[in-house]
Amino acid sequence: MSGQGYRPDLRIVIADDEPDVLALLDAQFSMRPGFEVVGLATNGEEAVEEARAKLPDAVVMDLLMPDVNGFEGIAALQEAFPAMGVVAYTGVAGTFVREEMGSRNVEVVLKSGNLNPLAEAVERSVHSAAAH
Amino acid sequence: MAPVKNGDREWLEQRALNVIGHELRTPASTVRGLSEVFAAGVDPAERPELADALVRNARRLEGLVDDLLTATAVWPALPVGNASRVDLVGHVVLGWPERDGLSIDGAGAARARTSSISRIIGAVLDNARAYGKRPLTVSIATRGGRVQTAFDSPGPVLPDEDVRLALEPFWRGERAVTSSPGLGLGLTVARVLADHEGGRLWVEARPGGGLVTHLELPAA
Repeated sequence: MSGQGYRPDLRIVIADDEPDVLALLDAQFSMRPGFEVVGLATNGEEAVEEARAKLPDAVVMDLLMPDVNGFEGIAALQEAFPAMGVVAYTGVAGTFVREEMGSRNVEVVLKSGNLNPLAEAVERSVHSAAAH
Repeated sequence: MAPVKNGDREWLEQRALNVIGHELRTPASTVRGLSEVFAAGVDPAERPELADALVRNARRLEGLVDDLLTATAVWPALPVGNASRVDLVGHVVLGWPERDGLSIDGAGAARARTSSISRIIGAVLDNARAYGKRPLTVSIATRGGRVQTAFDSPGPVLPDEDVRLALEPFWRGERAVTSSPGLGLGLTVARVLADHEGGRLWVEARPGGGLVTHLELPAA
């Protein structure tokens, strides 16, 4: 496909320890033009492995996950892939979460059935990562 | 069991906000999102895994709301109906579908609402299943018009704090929110329902490690 205005789909990896959340986000992003889900993970370690294997444009990362949590996963991702977009996706965002993610320049999105805030944050994260 | 201290209360309240936020937001947002996926034209018959997820999360949401209401011990939310004779051994067996890992000593029946006993015993067994080792030994005896049940669950030696706060809402011991879903209300709900049925529920550290949960109810 070619032509003015063409933009390839943003390829994303999603990490969440809740299988139903993964299934929902997979379905929602698949229905939304401009996105392609290329990998799913259930903890931070798997997310990094998927990122290494698929080299997505961005990773959506839940924070509270067993084994390797999202905080550790995001730190590992930013070290290994500084040009990759990252968005923290979480049920709660207290002071620690906001400060920690703020210091890493990672946008936090609260979990919602409405995909728009997350999709828009993913787009911003890709542009932000590309600018650095 | 020592009472909750002032510092504990503040900590538990903060914990409550975090746990409620995480555990309620996830199924609520999943129900909304999946509903909108189907409303957008996806056929549930072609995506049965999403339809199952919708039902599962709706049920989870309902269960969480029910636990929250019960744990507050506000009487309109507590079970209604008449008490009847409830066989305790039968409820223990029903609540432990695993083939092994359970030993029952004695027998007895309580006079209580069946739904309450089912939830009390289910919560105690869930707790033993999640935190304890095998076998779980359940001893039942009747004395002086009261039926006493002890759930002896071996496990690691628990910090005093874990035992002291085990029945407090949102306390989940050393298991972080990340380890398993749930509000951490199971034993709180069990305690409230035991009180509601004219009995009581308490815990103590098990010699050698683990937890013993005691349930006392009016005998049938």
